[in-house]
Amino acid sequence: MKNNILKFLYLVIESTIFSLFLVLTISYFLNIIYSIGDPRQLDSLFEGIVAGSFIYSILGSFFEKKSIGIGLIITGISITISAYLLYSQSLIITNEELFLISFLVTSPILPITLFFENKFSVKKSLKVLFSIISSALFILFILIFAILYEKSGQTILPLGISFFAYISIFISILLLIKKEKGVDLNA
Amino acid sequence: MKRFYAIFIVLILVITFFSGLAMAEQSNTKTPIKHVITILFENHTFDNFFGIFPYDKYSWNEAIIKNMSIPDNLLNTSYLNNLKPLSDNQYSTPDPIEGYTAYHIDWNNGKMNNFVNGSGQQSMEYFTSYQLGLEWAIASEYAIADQYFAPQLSESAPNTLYYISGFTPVINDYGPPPSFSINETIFGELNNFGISWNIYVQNKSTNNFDNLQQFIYDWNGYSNHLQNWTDLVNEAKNNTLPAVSYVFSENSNGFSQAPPDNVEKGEIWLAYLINEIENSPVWNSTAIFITYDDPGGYYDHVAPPVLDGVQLGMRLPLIIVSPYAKEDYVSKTLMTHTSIIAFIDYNWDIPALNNFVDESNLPLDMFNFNLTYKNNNLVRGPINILNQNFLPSGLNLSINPINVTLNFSKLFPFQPQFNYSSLPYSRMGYSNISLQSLGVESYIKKDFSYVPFYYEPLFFLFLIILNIVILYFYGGKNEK
Repeated sequence: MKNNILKFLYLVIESTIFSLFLVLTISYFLNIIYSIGDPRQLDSLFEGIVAGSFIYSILGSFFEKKSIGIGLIITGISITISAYLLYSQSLIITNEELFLISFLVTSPILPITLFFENKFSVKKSLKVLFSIISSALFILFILIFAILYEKSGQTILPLGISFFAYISIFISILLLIKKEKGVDLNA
Repeated sequence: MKRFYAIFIVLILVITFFSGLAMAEQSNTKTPIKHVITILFENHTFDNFFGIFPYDKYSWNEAIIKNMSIPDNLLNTSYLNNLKPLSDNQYSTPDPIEGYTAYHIDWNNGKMNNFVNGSGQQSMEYFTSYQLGLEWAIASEYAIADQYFAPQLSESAPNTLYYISGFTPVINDYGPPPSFSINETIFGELNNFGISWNIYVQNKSTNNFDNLQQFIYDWNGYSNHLQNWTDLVNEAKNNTLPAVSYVFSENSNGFSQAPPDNVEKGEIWLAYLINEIENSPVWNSTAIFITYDDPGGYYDHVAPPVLDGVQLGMRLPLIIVSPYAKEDYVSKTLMTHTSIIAFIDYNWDIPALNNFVDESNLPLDMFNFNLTYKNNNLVRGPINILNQNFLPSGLNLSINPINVTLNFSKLFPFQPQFNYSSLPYSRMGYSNISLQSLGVESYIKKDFSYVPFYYEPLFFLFLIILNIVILYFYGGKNEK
């Protein structure tokens, strides 16, 4: 029982960190940060992130195993719409658009959730729990990173992405080693 | 042994010769100005601080006000009612919404009528002589520019980077990366030409000047140029002030006048610095430039033009205090932060820092380098702020003002040093002289900024693919 809980948490954390890495990289690539100049815009930004992380994560848990392609297409379309909204207006966006963009940019959570829940055979009864814990962790990590980012004088965005990237790769390698040793990671 | 002595003597002579050349370069100026001090405040437009002279209930109509431009673009809009002065006993406004996005909404493609929607209602509140009488009086005693624009339609970092380097690798307050070498800045150029310079902050132990040092990746090699404000005052008194001094008011302790801080703290601090310089041996050869880093989201009615392909931001105040600054003069010269760099390059006869500086107009019309109108004395005496009439009781010029709730309205303007009718120049003018028009070449042909490869988006893309490969192809082995 204890082992199962640990395996479950292991996968949830890796799924969350990989999602963070991907979402932050896309945000960095799109220069979304340049459209934010005032703390009062943060409400819209975080509302979009919170809504996006929960909705995409829970959607991911309802998709069929073989629909990862659909998940990727949804992500591709969402990112394209975000880029269009940002650059068709030269980064001059309203708070409503900022909400929509931050919502759409979290879309990689959908295929990642789908991938983890199916690849590691998360039990059907645990899928929604997996999604909820993963989203909650995602929001918590984003908040912690946002506070650190602000305290750093707004300089550590790429450093933060690097941090999440290497942690994510490290956990992936651990998963790989455990599998090579024949440890059952199905949760 | 004799050979050793000979080599030693030759070495000494060579070193003396070259250091002499460097000193000669430093003291060889095109104008009587041997010391430029440039003081940077934060977050106010021209109209927010100086735009309402004509209508201020306390102002004196003989002063500078006659030549000021009048806000008129809101006359037929519903936003006119939003434009209102701060009430007496009010010394700050709530912070307007700032940023690349907010300022572009304010700007509204040059219509300058959307500040309420971009930066909020507070952006339409403006200051009067009640709060700013002291700064207004200093401005009217010397020269002020009312066509001086922020170099970028954005907030602090890009504008302040233009202030020191004539370019910016970022469009908002985020970064680095990218960063750049000190050689891209005016400090690097001064260094290379043997012209002395320092940067002054409240507390140099922080190794921080307006967070700009983090954009200069080789700053640590020059950190001995970072000094305290008290050092500036002492160096002026001891006549050891460097040729060029960049003074940062810094936001965190309330000196920068940025909202929501009390503007009188920075104003009295400024008056203290000016008073100290005026009463020091360097006064006769000093020009003090006073300006603001960015508009801060405050209303200004003049649409900023495009300069060398760059869309400028809203107007900012620029005041020049110097015995050679024209009294009660309004400059209509189109300028931006790089005009100050251009003046430094011009004065010490060195190349324009970069192409943008090369094309920036010089503030030469704000000076009268032929002062012959007072008993043939070339140099104007100090005004001595503390001897002025109508000083509010409780005013204590200090490097750290405590009493900052004073009524300065009666202080404006100071008694003119010369009757306006006897001034040998017009009280308004402009010039379109740039270093480029004088045939000066650029020192840096192309600005260069640096992002480490491990912070490049493409490198992150590589890591993403690597992560997916590990998870998918290898992690799938036990799937069944």
